[in-house]
This record gives sequence, structure tokens and C-alpha cells, in this order.
Amino acid sequence: MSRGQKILVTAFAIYAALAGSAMAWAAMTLYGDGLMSVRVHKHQPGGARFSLTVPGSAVRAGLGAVRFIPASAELERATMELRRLGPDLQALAAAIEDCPDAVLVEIEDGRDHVLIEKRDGAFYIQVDGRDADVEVRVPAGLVSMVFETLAST
Amino acid sequence: MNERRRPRSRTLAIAAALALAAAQAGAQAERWLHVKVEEHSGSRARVSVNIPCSLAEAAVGLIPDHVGSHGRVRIDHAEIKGEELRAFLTALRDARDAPYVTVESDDGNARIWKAGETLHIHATKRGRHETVEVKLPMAVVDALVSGPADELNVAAAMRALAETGAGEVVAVDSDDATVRIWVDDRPETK
Repeated sequence: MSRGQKILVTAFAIYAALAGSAMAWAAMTLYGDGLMSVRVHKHQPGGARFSLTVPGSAVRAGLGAVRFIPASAELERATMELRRLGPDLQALAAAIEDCPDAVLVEIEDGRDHVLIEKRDGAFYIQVDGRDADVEVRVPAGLVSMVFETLAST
Repeated sequence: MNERRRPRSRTLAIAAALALAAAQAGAQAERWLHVKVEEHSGSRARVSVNIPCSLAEAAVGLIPDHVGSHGRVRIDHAEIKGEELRAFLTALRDARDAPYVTVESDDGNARIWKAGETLHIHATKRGRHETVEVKLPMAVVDALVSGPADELNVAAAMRALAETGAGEVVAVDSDDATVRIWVDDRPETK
């Protein structure tokens, strides 16, 4: 292998390593907080099926954008309330993260069936209704992060 | 000298093993608060809530400002004055086992008594099937009155309930619905 080829191969290896690291970093940033998903299925004939998946990092970014909301009396009141609840929100965040897998809430009334469950590190909210079925999946870490962020507002 | 040291190191090893076992047992004994409501009429709804006591305790901390703060509920706006309720519960805690309140009226009967480390409340409605049964460990009553004079420390009561162990706390049985609240160490799974 000539000297020029060696330089070329080395440069390519460095480029590949950097690109790989950047992709890994991007994936970590994007999916590190898990994925939140919402699925809706309407029961009528030809009923719409709707599915939305949002990376947790988008929720984190959305929460970060709260600081850019113009100041108002209502925002001030909300901030004061969050400050008051700060330690309690942090305790709730920790309790949510530590909550073992289980069916937390189940409601059945002949028409609808609602289930809130923690499974495999995520909270599932399932509504099997007469008109539509809805399933929301939120990673427990994301719920905890939201409460942590609100606590530190 | 080495022979002298050996029993000591064995004792230390046993103590460490016991401490580990105790820590493991403590970690496993997560208490769960269960609430079950079953309607007997109308839509015949069934509601089941199963949450770890630690989560319930943390959630109680988020009660709105006008009701209380940090898991403590103000009772100055209720029909009964906070100090009176607190005085009653404190007196009950220190009292010997006996029936303390007995009410018999045209509407129904109610009894409050203490037996051992448990406070019992039993109420029935006259003319229809309706029974309310409450069993509160005295440790929970103690925790309830552990805050300032005009507050009930619900978060501390929840903690005490988890610590005192399994058992039924509230049972309501009527023609309309059945309600049960109890604590155990079994989560509800599908």
C-alpha cells in the first residue's frame, strides 16, 4: 500500500469513527428518553386509525421552551405553585420511576374499559371504548423527567 | 491470637449476612394500597386502583394549596374544629380499650371503639342495607395528628399504614355499591 493510500484509509477510518459517534450521540439524544406513542382506532365502518410516536427528547425540548413564553400573571402563578410543590414533585418523580410493574387502575362500566398499567418501564393507558380504542404509552423515565423539570422550574 | 480473631470475624460475617437479608426483605416488602368499588345498579361500574403506598404518599403531597400543603390537610374549614378533632384522636390514642362513641338514632347507628392497637368505626343505616366498617391502626391515628394543630398529616398516615402491615382499612357494603380499601404486599397484575 502506497503512502497516499495509507493516508486515505486513515482519513476514511477517522471520518467513519466520527460519523458513527455523531450518529450514536444523535440516537442517544433522540431516543435516550424513550418513545411516547399514541394510537387511536375509531370503531365506525371505515373508522380512522391514527398513530403518533414522539421521541422523549421532543417532550424535553418542549418543556425547555416554556421559559420563552412571555411573562404573564397566570404563568407567574403557575411558576409559584410549581415552586411550592417542588420537593413533592421530586418525591413523586422518584416514586413513579420506582413503581413496579402492575395494573394501577382499571375501570369497567359496561360501555368502556380503562386500564392504566406499568409494564416494562413504561406506563400504558388503554381505553377500549364503544366508539374508539385509544392506547397511550409513556416511558416511566419520561414521566419522571417531566415532574423533575416542573419541580426545577 | 488468630484463633481469637476467628469467632469475631465469623460474628461479623453473620451480622453482615443478617443485615443483607433484612435489607433484602425490606426492599421486597413494598406495600400496596388497593381500592375496589363495585356498583350494584346503573352501569354496574367496577373501579380498581392499586398503587404502591410510596406512590400514594408522594401523590398526597400534591394536594392543592387551599386544602393543605406537603401531604397535610387543613381542617379549620370543616364542620369540626381541627383542635377538637386532634384532641379527640390524641385522647383516644392514650385511652384504654373500650367503646367511646355510641350513637343510636332514627337514621342509623354508629360506634367508635378501641381494641388493642386498632381504632374501629362501625356504622349502619336504618331502613336499608348500608354498613360502613373502618379499622385504623393506632399508629396511623398517631401519624394523622403528628402535624400542626389544625392539620391532618395524611402523608405520614399513609407511611404509617404501609409500615403497620397488611389488612383491610375500609369496607362499605350497601344496596348501591361495595367499597373496599386495603393494604397488602401484592401488586395487581394481568
